[in-house]
Amino acid sequence: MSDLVAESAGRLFADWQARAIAALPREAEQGEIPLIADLWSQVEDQGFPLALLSEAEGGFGLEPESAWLLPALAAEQGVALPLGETMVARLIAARCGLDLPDTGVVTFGLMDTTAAGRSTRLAWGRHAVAVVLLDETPAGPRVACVDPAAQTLLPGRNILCEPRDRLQLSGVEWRPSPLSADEVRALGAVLRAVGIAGASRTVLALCLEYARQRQQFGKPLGRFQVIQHNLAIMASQTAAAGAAAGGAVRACGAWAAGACAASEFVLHAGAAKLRAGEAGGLIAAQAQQLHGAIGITHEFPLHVWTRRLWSWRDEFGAESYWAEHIGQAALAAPALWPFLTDLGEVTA
Amino acid sequence: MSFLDFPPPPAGTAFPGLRREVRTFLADTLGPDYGPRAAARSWMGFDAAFSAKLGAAGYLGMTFPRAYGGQGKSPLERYVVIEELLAAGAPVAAHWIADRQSGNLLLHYGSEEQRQQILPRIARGECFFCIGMSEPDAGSDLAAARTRAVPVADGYLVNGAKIWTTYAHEAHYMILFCRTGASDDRHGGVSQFLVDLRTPGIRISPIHDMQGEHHLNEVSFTDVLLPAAALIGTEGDGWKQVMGELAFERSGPDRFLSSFALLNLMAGQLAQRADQAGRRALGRIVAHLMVLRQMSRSVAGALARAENPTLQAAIVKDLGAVLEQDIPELLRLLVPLEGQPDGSDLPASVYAYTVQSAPGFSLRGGTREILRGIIARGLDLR
Repeated sequence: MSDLVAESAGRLFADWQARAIAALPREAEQGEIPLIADLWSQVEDQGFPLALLSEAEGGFGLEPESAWLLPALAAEQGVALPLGETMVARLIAARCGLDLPDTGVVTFGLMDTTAAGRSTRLAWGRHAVAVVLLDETPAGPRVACVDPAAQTLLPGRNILCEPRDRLQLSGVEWRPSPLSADEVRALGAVLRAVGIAGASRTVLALCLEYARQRQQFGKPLGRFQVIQHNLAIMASQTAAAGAAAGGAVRACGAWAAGACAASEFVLHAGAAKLRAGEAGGLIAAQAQQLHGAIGITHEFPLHVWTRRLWSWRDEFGAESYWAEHIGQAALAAPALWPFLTDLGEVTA
Repeated sequence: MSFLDFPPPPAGTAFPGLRREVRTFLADTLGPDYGPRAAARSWMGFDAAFSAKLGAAGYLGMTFPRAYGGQGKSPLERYVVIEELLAAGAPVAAHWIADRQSGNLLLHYGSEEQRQQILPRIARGECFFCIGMSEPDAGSDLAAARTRAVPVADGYLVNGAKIWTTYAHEAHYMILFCRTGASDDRHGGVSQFLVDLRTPGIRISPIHDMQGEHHLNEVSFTDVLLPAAALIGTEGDGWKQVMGELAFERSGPDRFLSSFALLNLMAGQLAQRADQAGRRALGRIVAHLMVLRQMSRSVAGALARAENPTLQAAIVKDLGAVLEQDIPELLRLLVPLEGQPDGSDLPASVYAYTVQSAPGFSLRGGTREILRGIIARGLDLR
């Protein structure tokens, strides 16, 4: 079952890759990445947005490793798609007992703790039929499902010009949330770690291809030892991002099944986001360097993946945020080594 | 490129009970006075009595079959034990090479007589090995080895020299990698031998490291007569065999825990004066260690499935060495530190030891450059 889902998703995203890249706005000042309606309806026809839900919650009871493969494959193929956001938003809604429309893009996020009534930047907010918002208050966490059309939308974009919109809320019905802001941020961190790992795999593949084809000084770039070593570094970082994301996915599965504490899940998600984010930054930089001038042009598609890497590493907690969170937890533990090994058992 | 995947070992292989048991054993055996200075030395710490206690407790040669004195345990159980040993900074130098690679090599390629003779003694912690690979003119370029074993009537006559031989002066045996034949292929005509270091004609000379410590040696061979039974595996197959040995050498958690004693000491200090920079630096290192542990366990899982994770091991060793070399550098950004080799200032002396040991982290077991070459080959670039 799970292999079939991944296979058909991989085929679908690959089919759309060229059109998704052709749809990118050429001039950042004007454009934004469009939602490809035909692709989205095919994604919905296949039921992908329900991938993280158990059968009791209306899903198919996929293994977490299979479900998270969907946003990973979309990231690999470079298609702009609010699939991961909708999957996570539907999981949060199911856990909080919120009703969502049966179809359509759904996104999720946190309230901005520094601006009253304002959300943080929401991926694909303007295209969403509903937004699941989590607000951490002194009285505890609360949650709401909001129709963005009924609120004031403050448009924004990420580095690749994908929609990242804030909502200024009024008249929202909040209810107490069983999930904390940390858990919601951690779910976003898993999503971005998985995406960074997928995008990194493609960037590495593009680099290997270019190093074989591009000739300078009478031989392919890949014959130069310094280039070989830079590619080896990229491969190791790609492997680390993938391993980090894999650990976060297992921890998320354990958390969803009630087999690990929320705090442990959050630490794993954060560690994966930090490690993948660091790898993504290194990989993007090396890839741009390897490709030379062609890599910084709009004509050559490398930027589709490197700009997503730069965007995603900042979202749902950048490296600095998670380093602080993890450092605090490590310092609060009685000893460092048992802290590491106890955490390791969650993903073992 | 499946070698970039690090799948987790099967569920239920974390062995938390074994981990607790080893932790208790170490607390009891090392005692409360075993401090960070000793812990920082860890696999430079030679303590035959400690190795014998480990053997008696069943923590050496764990993966050997019972018939050879082992426990028939999985590489994932051994992983738990060696991780705990390294995290505690236990003095593991005496048995480390025998337990990590020499025993496995003999198990795979050794004669029945060699296995019977050696493996039970390794498992008891009574038999120590050194590595006979590098030579004065063959460092990273192992295939340039010139030491030669010439077949004679009653065995082989060896002449040449090995260098950087850790604890040769304390070891009982060396696994000698040398030329035995003529071949146009640099990787051909080489073999491995089980060498009793008491054999006449072997001279072991100390080489002191920059801290004045004696763990490295040069080992010279002058007309050393080895019995024919000393040959390991097949004559001429030495390259394949030595690559297998190196895969074991490179695969373990000893590739990211070398600076752990210093990190642990500093974490204790940061806990008392934690500021944002300290929390962030420590949190970043912890996140890296979490991921490296997953990757390293994945390699142990591949060994348990009898796969050959050479490429994955090279990746973990490269990433691990970068991190463990970074640790002293990151800590000096947080805490005022002036290294000194001895004296009462504990962090200053552990730091001084670690910063001087750190250059070796990306040399031993294959330099960073060799590892990246191996990874590049895996990428089909060479």
